Amino acid sequence: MSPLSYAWLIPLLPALGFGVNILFGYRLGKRGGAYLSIGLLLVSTLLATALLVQVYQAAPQWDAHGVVEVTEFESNVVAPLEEEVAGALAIGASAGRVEAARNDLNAALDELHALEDAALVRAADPRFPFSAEIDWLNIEGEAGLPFGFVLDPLAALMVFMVAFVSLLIHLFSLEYMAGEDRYPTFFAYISLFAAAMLAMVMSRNLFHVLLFWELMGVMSYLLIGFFYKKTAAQQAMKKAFLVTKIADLGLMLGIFWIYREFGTLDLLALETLAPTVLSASVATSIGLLLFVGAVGKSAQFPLHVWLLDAMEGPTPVSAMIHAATMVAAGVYLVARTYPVFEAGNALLTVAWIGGFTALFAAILAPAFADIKKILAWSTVSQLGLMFLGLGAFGWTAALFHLITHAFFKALLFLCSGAMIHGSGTQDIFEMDQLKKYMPTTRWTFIIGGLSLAGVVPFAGFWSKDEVMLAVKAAVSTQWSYALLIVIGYGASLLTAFYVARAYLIAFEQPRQDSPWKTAAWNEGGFGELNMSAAEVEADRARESHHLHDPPHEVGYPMGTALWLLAGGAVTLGLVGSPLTDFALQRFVYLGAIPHLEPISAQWLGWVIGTAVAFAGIGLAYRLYREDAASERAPWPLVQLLQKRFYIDHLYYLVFAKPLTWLTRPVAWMDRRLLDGLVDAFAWLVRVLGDVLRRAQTGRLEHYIWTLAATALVLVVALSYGGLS
Amino acid sequence: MLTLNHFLGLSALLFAVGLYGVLTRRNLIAVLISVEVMLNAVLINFVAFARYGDNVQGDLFALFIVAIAAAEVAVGLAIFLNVYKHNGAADTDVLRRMKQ
Repeated sequence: MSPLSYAWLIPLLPALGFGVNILFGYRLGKRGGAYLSIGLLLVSTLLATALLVQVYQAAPQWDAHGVVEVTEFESNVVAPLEEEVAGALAIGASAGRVEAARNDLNAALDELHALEDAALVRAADPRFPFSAEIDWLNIEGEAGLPFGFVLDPLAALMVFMVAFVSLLIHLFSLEYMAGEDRYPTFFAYISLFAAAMLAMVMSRNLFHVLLFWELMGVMSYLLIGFFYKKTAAQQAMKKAFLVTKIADLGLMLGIFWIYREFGTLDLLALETLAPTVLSASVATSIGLLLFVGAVGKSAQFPLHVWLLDAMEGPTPVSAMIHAATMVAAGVYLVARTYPVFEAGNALLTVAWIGGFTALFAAILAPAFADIKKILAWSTVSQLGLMFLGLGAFGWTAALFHLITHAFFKALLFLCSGAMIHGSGTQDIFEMDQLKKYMPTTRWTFIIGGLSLAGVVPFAGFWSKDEVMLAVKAAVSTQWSYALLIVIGYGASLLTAFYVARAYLIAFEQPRQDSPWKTAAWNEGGFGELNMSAAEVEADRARESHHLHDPPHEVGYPMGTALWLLAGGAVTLGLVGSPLTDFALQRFVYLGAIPHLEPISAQWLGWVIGTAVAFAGIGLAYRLYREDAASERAPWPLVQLLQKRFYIDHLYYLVFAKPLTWLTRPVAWMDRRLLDGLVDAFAWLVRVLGDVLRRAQTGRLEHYIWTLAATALVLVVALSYGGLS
Repeated sequence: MLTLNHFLGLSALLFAVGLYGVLTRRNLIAVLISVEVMLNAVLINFVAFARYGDNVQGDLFALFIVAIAAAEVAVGLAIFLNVYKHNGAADTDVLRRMKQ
């Protein structure tokens, strides 16, 4: 059975969950709608698993050893020969020497092809990659916008990850959101969120990618503002929507431009068309425009500002946004349109933005006390690493990190949810030796944290190392990648540091006064800038800030979700490790053949990565093992970090404020002129009505007299005028 | 010798009497009777035209008017009865209050 026969159900089922929950959710009992959503998503997840298996079976199978040989042969034999030919041509050597060099090269290429053939264990299924489309929007004389699916390894892997992680987040929410009045609404939103992401990663047409991308934007808007009575949540939802919308403008322009160049938005055609049709400068421009969209969605510098404020949403939403959906969409988009990036020179920008963001966010994270905000910075930083990988030609590595990150970040966020649920506060300083009371949360947090820090053999270690390996390999193309190696490891060091800090303060240390009591509540975001003191006070009062004493452990639904994700965070890295002969790298790759470095080229990266991770953890241990009340950093520095380098303030002053001024006359026009016009019409109708109303006296005689008089007038008029 | 004009004259007279009744009487029953008189005036017109115009459409219409007048009286009386029950009186001033 072709996976196409059921793949369309995968996004449709959660969408159905949305429909039922939004229409009938409140009639299905307290939890009926939630159970339905989870059930439907469970079916989706099973289908996604089947899809992954089928795509894996249909994909070409490579022998790991053979692939390594090909890679080595390419870099050791073919590349020098190519250089020789190019060199011979450049210095204008005699025809004979050029010819000889060329012959050598051709012989080597033949040998390479032989090696490639030998490495192929089983050729691809003829139907691979599975794809289908139906007419959707036809344009006279053009390719139009057919609606279709493409089920290649990338799509299959993403679908599986999104469905599985979303399912566990749903399960977690079952217990976590139990006290909320708008329980069915929450499940409706979160189901459609998952459905949009699932549909996006399967879409064959860039236009539909954009469509579902925007749908996700709407759902994130609604979910971030789920506690809409809080002013801070209102501000946050607007901010998230506006910032991503600005970025989407770039994405849309990029997509329009692609249509103009190719006449189609078919993603399968992109692979063949991009290298042939596009000139380098056009490809660079399109790539940068698409990347602007990705930067906004994936919260990369300089559009990272929305993600921290998005923490106003319920914690499962944060997990959803940070792991399975939304931010992953940006990375996915760049990965999907990679041929365009390869045809131009946009990748260096991608790498630098990614690398810079990775370090930037990792520097900020240790200055925060709100557990969710620490993890939010961590997401920004990790996504930066993914873009660094993509920018360094490490397509497979970036996707590998995307998958592992989805698991351990969802785990960490759900752990933070459990910590908040159990202790009643988001401030790690106020959490009271949680290790005593919350063993499940503690151990799963440790697993997630070690994975994030990149400690062997957890998932994050393998994928992070792959990214760094790609950056190292890219140095040969551009010297500045060497700097990015340092930046990447710097970010990793800080990552290990801040996650260990959060763990030590929250789980190991007794409750203490937060050193930044006021700051922890609303650390330097847009909300702080745009809210009056009264609104801040009202929000604070609305926040149920009851510290639980003692903290309590999570129940079964939450615990199950945590342990399943922890299982992923432990084992998932192994699919990209030597233990499985790099199964993932041999499955998801760009181009004709996977690219595998020999172990001899990899072990150094493993050693450095482990050393960096342990250095970060060790540093945190030294600083925070015993007492953390006095953060040792000088206050101005902490202040600078907590205000996020005043970037939000800058945006507020440069963009938000002037816009408010600009819109004031427009608002006046709307309120006075337009509304006045409408009011005038209403007034006119009312006056006329008042006059005509008098005729309706309610006296029968009046009506009859009117009737008789009219009849008389008619008779007279008709007899004088004749019947004409 | 009776001519068409005699019948038309009678009809006009009856119609005028009926209209006068409708316009002047307060009692709803009286108003209804007056309406009936007007209806019958029209009926005479129809029958007369049928007789002198040598066709049957007028007769047919007259039959219709008789049937519908009966139905109308039944409905009208039922309404007036209810008005009376409700208000203890059945005149046109009472109906005025229905406006409010």
